[in-house]
Amino acid sequence: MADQQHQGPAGSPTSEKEKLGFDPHDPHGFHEGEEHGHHILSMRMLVVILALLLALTGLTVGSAQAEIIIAEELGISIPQWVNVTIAMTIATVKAILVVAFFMQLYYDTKLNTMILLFCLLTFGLFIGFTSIDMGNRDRIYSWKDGQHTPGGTGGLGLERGAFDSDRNPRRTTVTGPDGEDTGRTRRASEEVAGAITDYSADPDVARTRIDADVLERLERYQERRRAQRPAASPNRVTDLSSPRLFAPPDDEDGDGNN
Amino acid sequence: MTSIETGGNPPQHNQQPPALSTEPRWKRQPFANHWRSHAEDFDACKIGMWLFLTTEVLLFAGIFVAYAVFRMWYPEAFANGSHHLDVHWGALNTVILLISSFTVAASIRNAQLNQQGLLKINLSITLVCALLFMIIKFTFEYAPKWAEGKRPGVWFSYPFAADPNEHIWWSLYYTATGIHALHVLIGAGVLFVVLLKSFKGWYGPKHYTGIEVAGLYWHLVDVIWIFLFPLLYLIH
Repeated sequence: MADQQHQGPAGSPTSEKEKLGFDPHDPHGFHEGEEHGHHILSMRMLVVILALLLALTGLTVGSAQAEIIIAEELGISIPQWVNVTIAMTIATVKAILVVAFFMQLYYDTKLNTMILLFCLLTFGLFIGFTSIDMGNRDRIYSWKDGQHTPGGTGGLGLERGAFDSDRNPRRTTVTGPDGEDTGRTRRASEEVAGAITDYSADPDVARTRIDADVLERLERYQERRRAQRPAASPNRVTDLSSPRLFAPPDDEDGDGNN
Repeated sequence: MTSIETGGNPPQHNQQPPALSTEPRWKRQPFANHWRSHAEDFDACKIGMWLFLTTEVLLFAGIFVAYAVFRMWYPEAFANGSHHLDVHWGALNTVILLISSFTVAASIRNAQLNQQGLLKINLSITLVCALLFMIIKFTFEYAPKWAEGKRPGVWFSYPFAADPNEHIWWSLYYTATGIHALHVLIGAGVLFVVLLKSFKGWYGPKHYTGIEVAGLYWHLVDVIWIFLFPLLYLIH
């Protein structure tokens, strides 16, 4: 409903509208769909939504507890992705209920829905590409094994032998402090991470290793430069102890003066 | 109508009547001159709020992505760390936030139907829920954990940690729930202002932009918790 004062000063707006075929004070018809923002939810609807939300909370807690009970009583270990999928599906349904009805997006202009969906799209890109990257590093590194030197990731998965012939991460059993079997396994990349931690714990060993590494790289670099260097010209002085470098050519007694 | 109020312009159609009017505040509430009606003002406010909410979602998106990455790298640390959280407190806080969301939605309905008494009651219940949430969070979750050494990052000193990377879990736990708790406090502050204004008669049928916008923020805080709760408390 438009404000009565807004109908304009001249005459009856209805007759004017009928005469012209459009409302001269609202030629684009902005006021025709004005009521969309003012949907009044019924109390029954609100209570039903709250009851659904509470029931779904109970369901998600219950399913998580059921997984523990099944694992402990029956000895059946449900894969983790099942638990995650159930919990995230229930959370998504709950979020949709809150957004659509408590936040009234269902009754709102479609523009607000588009704003939210675009935001969720960017969130999807963010988490999607990050997951693709993180989830596939093992495979990428085994494929590139030997071409890399340990770098920014702290050497995760970069060492030779971290993967078996099927390019799966090699897992070794973890032993406890007294050498007992803990029943857990870990990836070679985690061993590498551990090894690096131990190695930096001993500064002397670390320095030796780093010095050796730097020297080896330097040598390789110099070799490469030597190979690339053009053939020495006869005028080039390669012997740094040659008196030609420091003494003038006619310095007979070699005291630096003519 | 003084010319100061209208910026030197002649009075417009939407200017409020003289201040001594006995009409309730929501009936003589003006809207800005660049809008045709209250409805346009309301819609514009809502679009602005939704745009702001997208930035909030993207703030938490960073935390959710950090969660995903660290959980991929250190699944054992996350499983062990999650076992230290008490599902009962988490579930209770979820229920409290859901009820507070319901009361906010109901208070908008009260404003639309000019039920001024119920409006104040529902907003007050929401604030009580926010207070309960914060009390549970600090008294039963943060304080005991911190005292036991289950702290984030370099402050981690829990002697019985089963995984060498458990401090990463605690860093993520405190960051995620801490930023969420900060949002609860901000939302409660905004709703407190809304409650004060409701006592001055600011809100009524078609004049409830303030509650609507504060309510959207509060519901977003609820939605974030809906995702944080299973991710933090229900993984094994």
